[in-house]
Amino acid sequence: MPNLAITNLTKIYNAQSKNPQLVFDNFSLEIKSNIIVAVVGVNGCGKTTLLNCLADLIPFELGRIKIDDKDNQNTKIGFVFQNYRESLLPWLKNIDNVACTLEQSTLSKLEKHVYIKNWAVERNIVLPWGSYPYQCSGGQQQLLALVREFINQPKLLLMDEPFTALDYEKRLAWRQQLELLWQKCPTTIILVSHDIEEAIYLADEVIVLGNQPTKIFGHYTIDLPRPRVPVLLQSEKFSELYRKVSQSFLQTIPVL
Amino acid sequence: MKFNILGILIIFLVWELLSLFVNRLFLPSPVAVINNLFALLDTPELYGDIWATFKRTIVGLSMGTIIGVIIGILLGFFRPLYKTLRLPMDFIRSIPTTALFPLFIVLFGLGDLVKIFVSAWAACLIVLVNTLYGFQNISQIRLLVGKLKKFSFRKTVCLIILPSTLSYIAAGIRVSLSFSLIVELVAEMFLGSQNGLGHRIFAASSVLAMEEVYVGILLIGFLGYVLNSLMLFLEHKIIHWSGQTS
Repeated sequence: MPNLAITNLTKIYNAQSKNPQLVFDNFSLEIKSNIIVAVVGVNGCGKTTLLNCLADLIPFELGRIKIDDKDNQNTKIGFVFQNYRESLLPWLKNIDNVACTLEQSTLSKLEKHVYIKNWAVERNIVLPWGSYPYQCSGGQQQLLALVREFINQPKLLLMDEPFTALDYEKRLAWRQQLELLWQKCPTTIILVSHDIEEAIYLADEVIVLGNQPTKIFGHYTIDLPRPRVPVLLQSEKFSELYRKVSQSFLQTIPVL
Repeated sequence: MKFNILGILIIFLVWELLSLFVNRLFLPSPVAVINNLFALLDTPELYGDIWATFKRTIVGLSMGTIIGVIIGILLGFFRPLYKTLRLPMDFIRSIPTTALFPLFIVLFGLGDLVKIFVSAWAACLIVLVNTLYGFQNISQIRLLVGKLKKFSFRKTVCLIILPSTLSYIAAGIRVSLSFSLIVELVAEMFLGSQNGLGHRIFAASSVLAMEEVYVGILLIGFLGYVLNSLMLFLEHKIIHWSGQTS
């Protein structure tokens, strides 16, 4: 059974105005449970709109989005922003950044702190809980932003290009961190990216989206062994997948 | 520290030199003023006056700040309300508080109330605008986090909106501080006051006790400086994240 089912999604921007913009026209997609799916595509192909519809941040005209057979409005969905640093609250200590979005709302503040620390210890996650986010390294801030989502065990975790602002070597480390955390707390992840290498490296499936109204230009299964390690980048298999995905990516660009 | 002392010494030297050439009535020598200050420091009335001015300024400032922040946040939330009230608000802000004194006297009489009110009025208008400005600069991402995590209205205000606007509010309070002090002193001079530093200066000048006028002015400068430093200190303590990269 698929975990995420999008059926006949139709989304129009400025529907009431003179020049409505049709972004999704009867768009359907099914995604299996507990896998990482990377969505790649050129700017303006509807990647971010898709995430926003999934996260129930914007309404859509027609269609259904079901997660484990429940409407997306009634499901726990996590979201990691492109600018994850800004998404942390600098006036709260690290632990309170996690505690304020923790869903066990019946717990007292102290109980929440204990719960978070235990959760982290069980997964070998070390963070300076008593510090403020701005006192932490970039890697720790990343981890904090991830922990904040994973701890709530979301049915679906959405990520909007969370690596774009980083150096290449930092991106490699961050991919590793994400994969490690995901293996400890499995969930379905939809990762939006415009970097094909990153998409293949992290994902179990890569979906190439093309221009409006949004269509699926390619849907690839990435059968590379996990955990993914940097040396994979040099393998023949990786190059082959890269060739396939980039070929279909290039098809989405109308004029080049 | 070395330079601070040097600066003060230079000012006093220039003052002393000037006072040699200017009529004593207009500019008494600093030595005479300091002597007068020490004489007055022995009288309990002086402390009463300092306290009265300090208290009314701070109470007015606090009340004005609270009201300004509340209105600012409400207007930030309800854009149509803000658009409706922007013009009248800008108009009212353009009226110097002192021009409204006669009106305030009619409304509130000549007691302590009117003197607290003028300081609150001046502070409220400044803090209000700063809060609104801060509201417009809240990170959209942080607001989205609140929305995604289904924060209640109260939680959104306490955890995202207020802390985000806090540095703007603090800047507003520091500007209001001097304004509150100004209108407070003017109110003490002209709104039938029986105490306060404004009253003291005005009373001294009407009997040409110029040394005492200068003592009052120095004390007001000192009070303003202390209040400003206090605010800076608090700002630094409370808004610890401001100026941090990230």
